[in-house]
Amino acid sequence: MTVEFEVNGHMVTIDVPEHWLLADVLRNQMDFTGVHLACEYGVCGACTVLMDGEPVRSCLTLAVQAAGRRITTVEGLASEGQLNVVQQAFIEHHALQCGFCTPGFVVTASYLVNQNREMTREQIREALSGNLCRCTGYQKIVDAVEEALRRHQATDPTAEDN
Amino acid sequence: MKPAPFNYLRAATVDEVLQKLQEWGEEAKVLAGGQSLMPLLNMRLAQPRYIIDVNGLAEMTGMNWCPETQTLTVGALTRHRELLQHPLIETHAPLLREAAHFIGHLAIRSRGTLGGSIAHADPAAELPLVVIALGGTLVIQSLTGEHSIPIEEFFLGYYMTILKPDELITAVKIPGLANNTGYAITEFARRHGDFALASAAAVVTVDERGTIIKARCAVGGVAPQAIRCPAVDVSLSGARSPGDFAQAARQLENMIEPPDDVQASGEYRRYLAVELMSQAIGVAYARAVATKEARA
Amino acid sequence: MGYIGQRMTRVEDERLVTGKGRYVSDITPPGTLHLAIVRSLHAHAKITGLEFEAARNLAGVVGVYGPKDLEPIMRPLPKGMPDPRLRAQMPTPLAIDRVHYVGEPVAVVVAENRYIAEDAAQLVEVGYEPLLAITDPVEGEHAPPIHLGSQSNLAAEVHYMVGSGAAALSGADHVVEVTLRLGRVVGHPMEPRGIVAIFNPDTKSLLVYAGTQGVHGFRHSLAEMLQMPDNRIRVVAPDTGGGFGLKTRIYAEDVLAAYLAVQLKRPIKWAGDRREEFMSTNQERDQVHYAKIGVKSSGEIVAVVDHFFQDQGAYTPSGIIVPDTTAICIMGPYRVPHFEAVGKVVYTNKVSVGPYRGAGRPQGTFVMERLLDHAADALGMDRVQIRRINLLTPDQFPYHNGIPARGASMTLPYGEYQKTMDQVVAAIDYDTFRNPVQKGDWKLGVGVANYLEMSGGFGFEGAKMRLLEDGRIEIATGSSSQGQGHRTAIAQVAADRLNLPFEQFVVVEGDTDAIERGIGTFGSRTMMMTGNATAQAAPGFRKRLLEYAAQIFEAAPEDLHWDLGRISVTGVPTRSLSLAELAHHAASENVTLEVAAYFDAVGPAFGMGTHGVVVAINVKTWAIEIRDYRICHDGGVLVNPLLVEGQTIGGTVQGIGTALFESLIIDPESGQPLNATFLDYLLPAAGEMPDFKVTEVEYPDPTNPEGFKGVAEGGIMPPMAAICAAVENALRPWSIHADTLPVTPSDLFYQVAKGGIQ
Repeated sequence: MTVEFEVNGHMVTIDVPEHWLLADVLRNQMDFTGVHLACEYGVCGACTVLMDGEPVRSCLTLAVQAAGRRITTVEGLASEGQLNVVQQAFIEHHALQCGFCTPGFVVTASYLVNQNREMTREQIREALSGNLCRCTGYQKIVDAVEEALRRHQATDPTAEDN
Repeated sequence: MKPAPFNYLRAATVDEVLQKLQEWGEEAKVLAGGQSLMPLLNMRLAQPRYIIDVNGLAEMTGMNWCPETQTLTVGALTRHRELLQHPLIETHAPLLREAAHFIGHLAIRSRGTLGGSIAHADPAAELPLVVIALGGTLVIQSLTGEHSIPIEEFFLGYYMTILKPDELITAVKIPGLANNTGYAITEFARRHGDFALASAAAVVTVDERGTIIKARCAVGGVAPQAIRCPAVDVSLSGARSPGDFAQAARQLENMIEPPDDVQASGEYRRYLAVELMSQAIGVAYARAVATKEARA
Repeated sequence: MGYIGQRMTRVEDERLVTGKGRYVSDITPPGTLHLAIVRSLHAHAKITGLEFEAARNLAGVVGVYGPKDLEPIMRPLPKGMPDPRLRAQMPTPLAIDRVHYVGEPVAVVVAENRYIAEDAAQLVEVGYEPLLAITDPVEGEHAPPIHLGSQSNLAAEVHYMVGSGAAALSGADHVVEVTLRLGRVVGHPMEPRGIVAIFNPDTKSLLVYAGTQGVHGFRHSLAEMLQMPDNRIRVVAPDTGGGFGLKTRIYAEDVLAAYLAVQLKRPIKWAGDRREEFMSTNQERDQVHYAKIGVKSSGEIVAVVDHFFQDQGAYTPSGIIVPDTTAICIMGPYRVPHFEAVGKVVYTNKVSVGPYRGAGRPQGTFVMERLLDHAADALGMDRVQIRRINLLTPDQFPYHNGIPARGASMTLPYGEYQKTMDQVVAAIDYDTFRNPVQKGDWKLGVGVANYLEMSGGFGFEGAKMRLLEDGRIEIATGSSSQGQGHRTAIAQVAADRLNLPFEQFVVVEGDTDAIERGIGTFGSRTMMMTGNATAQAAPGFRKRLLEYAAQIFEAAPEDLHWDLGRISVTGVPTRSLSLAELAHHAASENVTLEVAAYFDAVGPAFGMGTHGVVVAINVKTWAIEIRDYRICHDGGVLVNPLLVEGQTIGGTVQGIGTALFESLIIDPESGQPLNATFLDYLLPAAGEMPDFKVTEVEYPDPTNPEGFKGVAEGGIMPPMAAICAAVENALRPWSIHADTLPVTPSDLFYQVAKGGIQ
């Protein structure tokens, strides 16, 4: 089936078998290998991408379902080589070790930051509970997201005041 | 872990879905949010020949409140995230919002749907549980027409329902909360977002003196399907204290016999169900009393 | 320059946070074919038939192979860590005639993509005649042997004795006996195993990408299996998504992929998935201990005796390193005058046991710490007090604990153990929580556990420094990274020892072409080994550069001056060269400026530490929550405290997993795993984990010049014991025992229900 959709700001038209997963097509057909597969049944979160701005599991999405949608992978978050606030905070807080789960966390956290809501550490932990990391023990990831939220709100005029 | 091949149809109308369901029968699976079906496909535990994607069907989205019948009709394609955010849910069926909080994780809630969760019939799923407690009905369509059934008549056991291969759930109708009514869901899971080891939901109505006059309770995760608990409901009549609630919840002990599994013993799950039911009743009761007092 | 000791952020990270990491599964050369493995559905069975026709006929399938089709490689995989005590069993890449665990490879499919490969694997028909599955090591010892031609399921017996061993128990005032069980734990790096093998028919050489923890050993094993010389295989470990010991050895799939790449002359890729990770990657823990401690009325330890069983699973891919390490780590940081451990290693019809982070250290710690808690309870003594009485004191160092090592006794260097423990005892507010506290439905309790982290101490590792043309210095090492941050930490050491800016260094790891010899990353050894090799290479490398510059300047090397990357003739500042200029010069003369140093281990390092935890237990639901967690840890000289903290917290959370969540349940009758998905095998997740407060003490290790110690396994050693202690403490009125891991709400409910509320 031929489908057309937007990936990281570019329109693509691609012919894919109907039963292929969006994750595989992003990885293998388009070389967005930052989309990682670590469980393939929607538990670990490594394959999380944004679809029309919302986090979804690309292993639980068929490639043909992306038709007409706007997909953002971890590769699409930095603009013109400028890391986004989450990516920057992840580096500063040592929020990654092996890096395999990192794209899923960074995508999820970027969504949270864009939501512009203040979050407690507990709320951040709950929001990240669908992403598994085996290296860091999560604490430094929570630190990084907390910091990213803080910085985003300090710089984004649309951020809520509360 | 890749799905076996299938033919994919992106349906444009409910009619098209119904036609194809009739044509393909058991060889077809309806794909809604995909948060349960896709794992089954990836693990090859389900290998349908046809996948009918209903995600594009506007007819199955949205919700509306009918003041005459005091009924909230919620499209089957309503995502869990919408249950968390929609003002009509907030006003008329806040129990659905509370239930949605417990479901999986952020990315699961972006995609998962109300109708899909009910049709999948996982005994530990939260939405079937609360729709039972709320006395909801399912709107089911096939080429032969549309009918509604009370949700508690829908489930037949683990992942089994009365839905025929040519039928589709298109909407869920939730009666509005009566005056002086409170609601609650409680559950216990090992980790955030896991399927609960046990869960309970209660909707109770109190009279002017703060005594329970009506209750609808349900438990999940402790039987082959989420179930109503009429014995608890009856026992709650006249109840008004935590002791009463605990005693009513103990009616469950004779109703359920959950099996042992890798997470917990059946005995523990039964104990949990009673405890959670008692807590749910307590919360629902407090809310009922609070609404009563707010009205007064 | 003072880089050592700085909390520097990692040079690795920018690529990884932008999705530009390159993991094995990201590598797909043109023309790649994909493997799917047909795996045994039975724990123990005879294979009565293999039918490939339907699979072979599927469009896109290149081949389907059983053992008869791949005869040249149907030999046992190389034995890992051979040991005279062990009757080793190693699998062939595909099972021949019999399968010994659910998941053992029986056939392999090669297809144009993974989808088709899986479609075809499903069409392979395998006939099985099920045999009795052995699933319990205690019963299994005397059950019919699972391996044909062997006499018994007893693979090995490890035995250590210090002083008079068990006989000394008769001299104790009290003897306490405990049965301890540790669940079967699956290591689960987030990246499943995988391999890409590319054969060049012209040079008859193989290029292999594999997420292995040791490229040189991997190459050697592969060469042995393929009967190729080592030097015709290049193994590259690209970005690797976690290892934790599971990726130390070659696996069946590696051999299959490499061999098929040679045969088919096409790149071959096997990207294992999570199901395969559950069913084929080495697992760990799975021990039962019958342990005794004899103490005087004063609390002083007289003797510790442990009889234990290691459920080894079907094969011995890493010998008996796990039970052996278990035994030698039991005594920990305490003075134990008499000790005896007998560990029986028993074959069962399960996935093989091989090292997972700690590799016996956590088990040994669990045994000792639990014994101390039970002994204190029996004596009516405080649990911290009994530790205070028995911890080694500064005047007792160096302490020879009696475990043989290199022909002598294992020797613990200096440490102030009681001070370390007391720091945690104060931080966790032990005195408040030792008498159980109740808040609403929650009962709070505290637990404290000590550990002695044994790290490094074997083999060698190298660092090869080379001046690159741009003036930067490459440091190549055989020890590769799976997330540890070596490229940052090793550069910190090099920058200090060469007195150059950190940015001047590029660390290259995980490539057999980068350095001739190497062992790899395990046992928390890399900073000790490569760190010291780097420090050792530095003076020689500087000398080499100075000598070469001296030639250019026609000066004596001793007249040259080395200053922040410029070499000048002393007193003649106009005559100077930057390193880039020097490199340029060398390139024009075809001179390679390169110096390698190899560091040999003298012995393991020992770092002592303490964990303290407050747990809360809901007496209505039996939910267990961690409310506070304090760690004091000795990592020797810390190269990068930020990374050390990451290792410590990450390890601790894995330990909490073993303590509270993780256990692969195997059906005792059928040998089938019952929870082999992330839905029901519960990894620790963000929502349940606490924030940790870590403090470091630094006692430099005397066995290596830099004073480094390994830091990656300390975290995982004591959480189980500390949590069990805290759970018991919280529920003291019910006298429950938390001696079986994981401790679950269901178990607590059961114990309290059976014990009744007192």
